[in-house]
Amino acid sequence: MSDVKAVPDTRLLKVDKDCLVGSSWLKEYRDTISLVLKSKGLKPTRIAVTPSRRKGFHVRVYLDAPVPAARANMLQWLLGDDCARVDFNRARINAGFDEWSKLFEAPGEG
Amino acid sequence: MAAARRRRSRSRSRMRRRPIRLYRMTIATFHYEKRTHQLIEYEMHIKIARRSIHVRAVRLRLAKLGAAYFQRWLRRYAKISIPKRKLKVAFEREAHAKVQQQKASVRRYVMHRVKRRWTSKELAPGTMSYVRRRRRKKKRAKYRRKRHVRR
Repeated sequence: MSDVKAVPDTRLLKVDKDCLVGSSWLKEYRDTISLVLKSKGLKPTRIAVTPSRRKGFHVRVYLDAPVPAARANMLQWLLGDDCARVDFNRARINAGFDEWSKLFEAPGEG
Repeated sequence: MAAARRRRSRSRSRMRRRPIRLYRMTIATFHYEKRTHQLIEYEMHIKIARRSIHVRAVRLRLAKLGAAYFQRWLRRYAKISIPKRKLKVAFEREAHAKVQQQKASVRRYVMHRVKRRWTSKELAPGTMSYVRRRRRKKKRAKYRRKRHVRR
């Protein structure tokens, strides 16, 4: 296990929400993010919501302090991230992959 | 001559103005291994910094080269051939970079299901060339002939 590289701490949480909702629900979601992070002793400095490639939203939460990768993954799960993504992220963190959190765009975009 | 030089320098300065972006691509595929009755996921994370204003063009070229590279590697490493339609190619948002690269860095992972969880194992990293190899110029015939003159 000693050959596994340590994954650096992160200040960015990426959440994938596969459901299209209205702006009032998104506002509620932003408030919920702040509450959940506050309960864990953290504070969001910025919350960015962008449309994802097929359906739903990508949410990027910038934190005031860096957190370990495993904890960041747990926070993403608490914030309602896609469960399959959380499982893959956990495997990537255990393997020592520093860019473990991935949010994809469509190939033709940009 | 002067006009041509001016044109060349103008195009160079235009090139310098173009932004360098860091492109990050992931290619993945699932494979069911009959021998062990196990579902395996192979994934490859490719990263390269390129100078271009056409993000879409770079992405398409990367996807084309990366898919062929991934197929070749799978055939060599796992002795399996997977059609291109079964490959999942995805891009992340571009980031700023300072220096353009000729070769992309490649990191490879294999995922297994162990106790209802995905576990990942890192394989040997590699590089993938993005630009075409330049052909060596052939030496002119008269020089070659001169070398073989006996004195």
